[in-house]
Amino acid sequence: MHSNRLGCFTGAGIIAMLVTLFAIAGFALVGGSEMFSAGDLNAQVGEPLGGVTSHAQITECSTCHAAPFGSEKMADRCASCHTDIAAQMFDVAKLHGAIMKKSSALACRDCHPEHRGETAVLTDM
Amino acid sequence: MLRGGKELWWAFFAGIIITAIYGGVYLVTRKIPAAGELFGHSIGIFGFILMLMTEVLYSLRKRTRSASWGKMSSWLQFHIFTGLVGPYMVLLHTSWKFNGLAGATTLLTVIIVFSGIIGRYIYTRIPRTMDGLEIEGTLSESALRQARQLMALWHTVHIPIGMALFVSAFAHIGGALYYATLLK
Repeated sequence: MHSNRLGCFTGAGIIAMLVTLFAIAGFALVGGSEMFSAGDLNAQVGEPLGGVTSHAQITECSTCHAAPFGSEKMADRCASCHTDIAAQMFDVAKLHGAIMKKSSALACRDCHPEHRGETAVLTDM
Repeated sequence: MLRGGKELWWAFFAGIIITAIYGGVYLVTRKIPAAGELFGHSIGIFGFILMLMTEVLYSLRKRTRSASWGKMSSWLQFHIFTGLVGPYMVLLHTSWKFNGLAGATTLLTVIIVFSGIIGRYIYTRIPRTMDGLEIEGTLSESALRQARQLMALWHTVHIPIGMALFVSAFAHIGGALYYATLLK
């Protein structure tokens, strides 16, 4: 009568674990990694860059999120679309160049937070 | 004994202290603590550790069935205390956004807490000794049988909710680690 199993591993408990695992896998198959999103992306429309006119149109996390174990950083992902800003960062006469000269350790996201809603400001210094 | 509700008072006081700290952080920073910043993240991590203790320690104690590990009712009190305080901290970690997997995990957390409150209510309807054993003869035979059946039914529901919650929580933690915490 005294089973040696941990109290939480009942039949129903194990089934619930499996159902949840399959549900998460299902959502991952249908919606990609969007279920991990911390909030809506900014929807302000600008000129077309990287095939979109706003961050809100981006649906794939890896567009901006570099893999944690790769050599690429998030700033490299930003620069792959925002090439004008990437160029500015090397010109001390321009704002981004001046900032980089003063504090080269700053990453884009230190001043430009995202996932704060469609209308949230993208510059927070 | 659960009758005195001591664990509920402890949880209530812990809740007041946590709320005061949360309020203090809010007043100093003038914004709702974000889930990924120092305070919001810490409260989520500590809350989750408490929730993990709620589940694992009680499950382990139930398996040992040895009196030398302490009274079952004390462990149940601890289970109820951490099972209320942990989820409350996790709720404050949400920064009041409930989208995606994190939102689903919060929903499961709320459900398991309500399930636990119902379970505590059923449990305390049956007269028990200090060690949580039922005292026979105080309830009528049929009332006792009914209460036992209800307790068993509740048990078969409470455990799977908890297991679903932990799968969902671990997926959330994995996603947060991958996309945010290890962010470069």
